[in-house]
Amino acid sequence: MIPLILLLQAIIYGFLMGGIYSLLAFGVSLIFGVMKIINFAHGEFLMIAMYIAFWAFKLLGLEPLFSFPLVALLLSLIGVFTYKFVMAPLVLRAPPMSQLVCTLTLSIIIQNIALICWTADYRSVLVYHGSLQIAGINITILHLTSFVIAMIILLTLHLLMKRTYIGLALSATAQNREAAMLIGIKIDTMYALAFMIGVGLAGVGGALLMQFYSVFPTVGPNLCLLTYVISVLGGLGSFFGVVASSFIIGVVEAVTGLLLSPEYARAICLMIFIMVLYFRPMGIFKK
Amino acid sequence: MKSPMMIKRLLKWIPTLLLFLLPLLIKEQYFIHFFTMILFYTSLGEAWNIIGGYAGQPFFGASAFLGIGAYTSTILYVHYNTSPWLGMFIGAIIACICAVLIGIPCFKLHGPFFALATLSFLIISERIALSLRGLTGGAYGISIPLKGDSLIDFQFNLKTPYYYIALVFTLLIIFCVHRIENSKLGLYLVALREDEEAANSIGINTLKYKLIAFIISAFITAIFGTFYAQFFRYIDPYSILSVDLSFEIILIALFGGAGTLFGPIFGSLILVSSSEFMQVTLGGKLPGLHLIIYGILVLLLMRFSPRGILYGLKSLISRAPKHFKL
Repeated sequence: MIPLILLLQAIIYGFLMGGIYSLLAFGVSLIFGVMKIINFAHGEFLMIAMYIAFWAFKLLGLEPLFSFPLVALLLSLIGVFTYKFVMAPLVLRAPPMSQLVCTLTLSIIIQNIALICWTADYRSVLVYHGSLQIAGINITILHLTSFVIAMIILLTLHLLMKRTYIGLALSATAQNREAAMLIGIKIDTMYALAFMIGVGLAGVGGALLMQFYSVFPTVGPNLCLLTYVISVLGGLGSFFGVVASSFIIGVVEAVTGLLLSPEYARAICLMIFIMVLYFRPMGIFKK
Repeated sequence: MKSPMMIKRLLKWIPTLLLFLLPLLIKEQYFIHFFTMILFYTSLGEAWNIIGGYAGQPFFGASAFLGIGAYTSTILYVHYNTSPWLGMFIGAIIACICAVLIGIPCFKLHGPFFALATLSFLIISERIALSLRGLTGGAYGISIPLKGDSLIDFQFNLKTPYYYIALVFTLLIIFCVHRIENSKLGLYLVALREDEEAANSIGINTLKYKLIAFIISAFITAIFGTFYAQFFRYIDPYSILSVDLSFEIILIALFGGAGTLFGPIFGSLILVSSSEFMQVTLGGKLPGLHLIIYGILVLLLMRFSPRGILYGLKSLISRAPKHFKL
């Protein structure tokens, strides 16, 4: 039997990791909401972000906790370029089936470029800043600060989406493309913006994840699927739904990893995903 | 009037005849292996084509059925000494049952959600294969002991028998798909691909026909799973249950033209040979370079002819000036 304290520990870590996942899931659900495409290459942007965070640490001595704004900036640029040269001319014009294939192909291309540039080695950033102990439960400062950073960024973005003209224009595009066009919103700019924010968030998420995971060229697909699981679970486009389901998935993953085995953890998340798709395709939190 | 028709009909059989004579003309085992792989991917492409092309469902889990077929026959052979031919049909039937179990929840979903759900099933099956170590050998996989030439054990020292088996199966499958294409089922599938609600409203039970297409597709795929296992005599979750393999199958059908009989044939001819060629010429220099070029090729095709290379060529020909017309 696993002691209660270990279980509590796993739950808290799952919760904190869920905070980071929510950044990724929010980006994915923004891209899906506005552009109506499933971007299978999202995991690869995450991989690039992790590599940038790794090299920033290795070459400049910048810890991911401090380098994440830089990573986010670079990734946003990459996002805009990808939109301009791949998404707009190629993916958005294709029929639905080809769209899926295009983004998957893009992910294979990026993976193999990473393989050529950085080989298949696992690389990680080792930093430690001590931990807090509350009632016998250890929480590392890194997990806690990353969580706080993720939450601050998400809340700021949420407020921007609700309060500014551009944010409202984005939501309008997500709700009804034709109507948004009619009232003079530039759809193309909105698409580019959504893609930029989504990839930029993958940048922040990747930098923060780099503190806990190793990076290698094929790290993306698994994390990518996990983010889609989270965003569908929360109901695509619903902010609080996505955040709440990130916590759920984070906790489920940590607890099943502890109780069964890490191999089963992903399988169980996916089973929950299929059940939710079947019984509540609009997400668990939407009315 | 009658004899030109006859000649035309006979001409159609020449490629088939050539395929049967091929091992007599080429003795090199490497090439026989290569042609067997083309047949293998053609059949998988055709199988996917039924559900993905004609019925238009973005099915991303084809290698799950491949894995079911391969693991069933191999486990039966290694642990219980059952002939792989029997295992092949048991595996195919299990795959059909799984197709029903996966299909009923998944066919409620549309477009990208269907893709995600089937992808999830594939990954779940990979996890299951990884964790049932006693049965599947986990990440180490299973290798099939070599017993020498024997038809009952589905084992041959040379590649030529495998080639003929694959050829017969592939021709049968192409014939089946041809029959489906021209049957009521084929028309129903195309109707529900174009507009599911409209198909429903004229009384087509879309769920039923999608399930039938899915079951046929699963059956064929699982049979080739056994073929894969016997051909390579080694299976492991990372190769046979991988997302990459599923994706390759989809690419082959889409490259040639999904929803057409000849699409997967041309797709596998072009993609398998170009990937083999690039692997031979570039593979040694930079790992992964051939996949990058392969990917760029696919993206270019999707840009200029999203409905497949056959369709693109056809429209090119019809656009050409009259006297160039073939």
